[in-house]
Amino acid sequence: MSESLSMLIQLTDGLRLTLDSERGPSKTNLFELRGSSRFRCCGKCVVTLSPDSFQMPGQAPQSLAIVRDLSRKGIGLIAHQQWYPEQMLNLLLENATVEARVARVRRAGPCCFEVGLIIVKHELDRVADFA
Amino acid sequence: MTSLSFIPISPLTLSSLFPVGVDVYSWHTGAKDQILFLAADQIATDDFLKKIASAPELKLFISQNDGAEFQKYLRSHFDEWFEDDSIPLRNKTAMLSEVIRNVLSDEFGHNDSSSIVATAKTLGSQVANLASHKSLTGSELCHILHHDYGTFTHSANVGFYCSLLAAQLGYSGDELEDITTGGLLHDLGKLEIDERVLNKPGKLDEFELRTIKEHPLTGFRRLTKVKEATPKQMLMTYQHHERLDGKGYPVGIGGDEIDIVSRICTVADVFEALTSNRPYRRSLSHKQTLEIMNEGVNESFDKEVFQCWSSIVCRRLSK
Repeated sequence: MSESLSMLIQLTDGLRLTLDSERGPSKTNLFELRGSSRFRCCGKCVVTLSPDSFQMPGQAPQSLAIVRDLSRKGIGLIAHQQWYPEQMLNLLLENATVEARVARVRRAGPCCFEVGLIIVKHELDRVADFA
Repeated sequence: MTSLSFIPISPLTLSSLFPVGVDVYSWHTGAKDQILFLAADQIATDDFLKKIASAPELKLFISQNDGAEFQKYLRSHFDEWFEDDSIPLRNKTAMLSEVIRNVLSDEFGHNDSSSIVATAKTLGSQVANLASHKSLTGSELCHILHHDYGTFTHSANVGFYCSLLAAQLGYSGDELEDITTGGLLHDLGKLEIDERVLNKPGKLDEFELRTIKEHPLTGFRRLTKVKEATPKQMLMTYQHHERLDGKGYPVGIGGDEIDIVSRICTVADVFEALTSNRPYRRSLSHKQTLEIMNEGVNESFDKEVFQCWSSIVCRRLSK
């Protein structure tokens, strides 16, 4: 993990509660049209905007984020800043690197955005950690 | 007169230099049939055009079949008119508005985002050129533009309004062109919505509402694929339904998180929507529209941007 990055997210009470208490598959509804189940998890990751991706005004190219859920094809993050749809991000997790495309973003509160990403490529550094 | 076989044109598009090339008809409220107003090969005299200019209630139409020929007339003389200082600004604006509606209709029909952006940029530059003349007032512009409900008409009008508003707020040059182009492109995402949903006269069901609410995201996604699209154009497309109080969509950002160009676009977009006929309601007057919008200041709209737009529109209303 990068030592120079600070956690700037201001978690809302609702999100804090979700992260603290919920585990296992998360709820969905018909309109979300999900292909695979999401599982709650909680961990940090370093998010870096891919050099090939477009950058929007005022965006920091690298920051810390919280991983909130994972599915076979997607990953859900909580970030302090807005990421924009179609941006390509490189995620450095504790035991994996993931290349993912931003699908949608929702503001949960000040300095708190829920970001849904589609996993394009992933590499596990230490497979044993997932056992 | 059936609205299916005729399309409205602005009287300001008639010229004393060239024949229109298609028959032009007039129609008055309550009249049973249309009347031939100007034959295809006839050239309007200056006196005749002055009379037209002093009759704001006059509505002119051409046959729908002559639409392409009318566009040929406009486009073949447009550059000449645009450079001609003797042609009033309002006539140039009317001509440009007619051309834009048609060009956008063609381009949106082909559904090629790169080509749409390139065309919008060219048109945006011409609109910005007109809007930078401070003599064009908001209400005059509203009067010149068409107000039927169609994505192309709406986009063209929002482009004009954004341009006038941004010019008044102090933008000029490339930035003004960029904002104008953004206004023309802001509803790009509606290309992916079924027209039956867009034009539905009744209440939308939950699924239809969700579909409509996807258009800022869809439009933004399209622009990310076009190298020439600028951040301002992308933000205007993505954020024009966000609200200052954070209750908008697609992200729910608020206050300063919404870029100033998007706040300009929101005011222009809502004003245009309320002053145009929709499948589910009649258009509102400028006064009614400004009153309604005034109630949404600080919740939906940026106060400074709204007040600026209000002053542009009221400048003429108070005369």
